[in-house]
Amino acid sequence: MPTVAPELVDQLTAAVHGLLTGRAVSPVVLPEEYPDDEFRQLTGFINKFAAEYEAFATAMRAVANGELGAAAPKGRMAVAGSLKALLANLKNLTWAATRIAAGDFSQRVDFMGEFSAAFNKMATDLKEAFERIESQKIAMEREIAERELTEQDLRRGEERLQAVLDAGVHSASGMHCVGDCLIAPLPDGLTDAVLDLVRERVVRLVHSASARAVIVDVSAVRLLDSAACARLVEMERVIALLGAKTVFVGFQPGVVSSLMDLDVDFSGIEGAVNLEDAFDRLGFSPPALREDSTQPGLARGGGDEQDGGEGG
Amino acid sequence: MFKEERSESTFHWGMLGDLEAGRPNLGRSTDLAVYRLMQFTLRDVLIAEHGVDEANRLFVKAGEVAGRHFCRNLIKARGDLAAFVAELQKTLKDLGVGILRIESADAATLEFTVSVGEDLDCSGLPQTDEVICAYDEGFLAGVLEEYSGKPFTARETDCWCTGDRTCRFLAKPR
Repeated sequence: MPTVAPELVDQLTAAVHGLLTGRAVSPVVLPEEYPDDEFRQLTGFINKFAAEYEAFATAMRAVANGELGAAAPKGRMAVAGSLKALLANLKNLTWAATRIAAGDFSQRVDFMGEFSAAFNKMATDLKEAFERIESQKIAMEREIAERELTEQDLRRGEERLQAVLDAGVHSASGMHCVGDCLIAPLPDGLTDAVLDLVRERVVRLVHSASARAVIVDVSAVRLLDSAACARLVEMERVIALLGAKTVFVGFQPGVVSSLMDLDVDFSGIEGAVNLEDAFDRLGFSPPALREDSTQPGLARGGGDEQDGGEGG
Repeated sequence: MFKEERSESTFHWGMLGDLEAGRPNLGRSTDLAVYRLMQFTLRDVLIAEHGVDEANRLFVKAGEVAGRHFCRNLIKARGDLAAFVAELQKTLKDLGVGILRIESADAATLEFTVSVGEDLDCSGLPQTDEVICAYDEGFLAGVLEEYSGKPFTARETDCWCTGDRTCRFLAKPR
């Protein structure tokens, strides 16, 4: 056995102790004249181990901080090889996670123990969740499309009704105001929809023009069933709620006979023979209409432009 | 078929024969040591006869032929890179060739960094500070050539034999 100076043994002992206690270790340098014996060989091994261990520790710190691009330690120590394998696996996982984030749920990792199982389950669950959301999205888009179609149908229906109403109203010369009195002609061929829209327009015009009376001209109406008559009665009540009085003028004899046969309730309906009679019943005497008031129909002139822009 | 003179590869998949018919009792598999026995004795003779560089070149070239035919006959996915990689990984695993893991893959430049764990050729070999998977380099290049239609080069940067416990390759169009 070589004889070694105690201070050299102390240096080696301090180096090994430094490694064991996590401190930085400087290489042990033997005097140049020290012989090439077993102690020099041991010192060389310990210095090499300390250097490779430091490189390994540095690389481990980088990996622990997520720096996967850090240089892998060189050397043949088993821990260095394991660290390189770990780095390769982590890089592969990073790539697989990136692919999953891009929508490729087919990614799987193998032979990484519990981590493989957890990662692969995550990928499976994400795939199922994504497919569920996609399915819900498709269903929602289909529902929205169906609703849009329904709304389009409704809009088209409303437009058709409005066209019918407009055609009806215009054919009866339109609604217009004479003083405080609104004159509302009804077209022939009344349907429930037309009557509803007429009522809505009359109510708006009475309110906007602060009319005190409404003359509903039914002289063009040749057919009136019990349901339509009920709607007219209802309109008269609504107008009364607004503080105005309603008189119906120009009922055709045939219409009245039919309604009598149907035993329709006329209570609340006040009729007039002609326009003059209607104005008399309402207490109005508009001079502009007096000359033409002998006819059951209404006078010309006025039109929707007089009703404050409410006509359509 | 097997012994004609040739100046270009004439290999085709049919040269592997009907494995089921030929080995009804012993089956398709053999011991890994037998594969390596052939690989390393062949390498030994090639180096002895032609030198290290030429032996390496021949291994790379043979690997390229193998990779192209492997991809042509066993990998169906084309076009979609993710599907191709997934099928390649599964096939290599199922056949016990190795555990292929992608570290990076650029679909635009077709540059890949891959590692192969438990590699058929080198895992468990003595550490020698040499990267020795020349056949794998060619094999990977051949697979990617067949997939992409472009000539590829693959270079091994880490190997079991350099103490890395996993082989790492950089592959890109040549």
